Amino acid sequence: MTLPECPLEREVIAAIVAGRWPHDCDELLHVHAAECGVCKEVAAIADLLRVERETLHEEVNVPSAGQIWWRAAIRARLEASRQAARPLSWLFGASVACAAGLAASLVELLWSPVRQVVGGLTPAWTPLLGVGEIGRLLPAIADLTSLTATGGFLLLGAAACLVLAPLALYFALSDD
Amino acid sequence: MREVTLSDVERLGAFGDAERTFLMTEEAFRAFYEQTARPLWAYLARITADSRLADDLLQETYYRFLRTRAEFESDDHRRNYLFRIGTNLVRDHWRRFTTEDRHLTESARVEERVAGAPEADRAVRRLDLARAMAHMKPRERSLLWLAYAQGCSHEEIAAVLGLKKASLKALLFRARKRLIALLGTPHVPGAGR
Repeated sequence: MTLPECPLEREVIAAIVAGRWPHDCDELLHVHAAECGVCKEVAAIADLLRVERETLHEEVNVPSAGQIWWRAAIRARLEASRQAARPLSWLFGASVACAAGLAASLVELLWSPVRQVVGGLTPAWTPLLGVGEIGRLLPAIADLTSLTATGGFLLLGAAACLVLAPLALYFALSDD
Repeated sequence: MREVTLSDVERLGAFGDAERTFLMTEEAFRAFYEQTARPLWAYLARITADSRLADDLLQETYYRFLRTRAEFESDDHRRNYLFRIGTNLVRDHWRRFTTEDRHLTESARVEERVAGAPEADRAVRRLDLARAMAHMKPRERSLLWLAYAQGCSHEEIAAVLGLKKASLKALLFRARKRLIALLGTPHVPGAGR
């Protein structure tokens, strides 16, 4: 399909957009637009839209350039801060997960000696716990202490560091 | 984690940082803004048929423009890029609404906008145009506005709307015909001169 075109179409539009139509433009262009089907249509639409554009320009109250600039600057800074805070949040989440895992393994590690101790005591719970019984219990507690003291304290220390270090970092780097 | 906020001191710092963050100086931006803000607002208001939305989109458009790392060959290129950002933002906004919602919103706002027009004849013409435009596709509105209200060349329109120049002529022709059909017999300006 061949679209109807007119070589003067652009000139008609330019005259209307610039506000030269119909009185300040070339008389020949005006005569041509009255006769040419394409230009007549284009002139009708362009004039209608020109009126709309001018009215909108009169009506609009756009914010000042300074206001737009200032808001953009604030927003850019805010986005930069958010971006900077994102790895810290990830670090915090990862530490919490690590600490939870470590705590679970510690419980597992300490559970069997505790059970052994408690299991050894079970028959002894039934009579009243006298001085002699406590005396019998003391070596068992001492055994447990020696067990946890070797690896348990190390693990506890590591877990505490993992939890406390990101917290300390967070509070040190946060706003207030 | 707490939400990130800026203190007053940081706000002042942000103002100082702006020229490092943006590729434009404040002075250059002011000059560019004075040239483009009203045409851009009119374009956004006309294609969205919503002046409040146009206000929001105007700010967002300039923000994205300032954040861009693109380099511009000329003022026209810079201007077209700005209009392209605006067009994309309008498209994103429309994707969130169904066509029906859009149409209802636009029709309801047409009369509200035209009610304040001072001259009766002008008001009637604007109302007719607004009603006709409300029935057109967003792309058709953009095409007509850029071509006939702003006088953009086909190259410029293609750059703003992201269309191929070869298909533009046919699209523009169809949009024009559609508007004429919706408006009825067009008024030819200065016909009785």
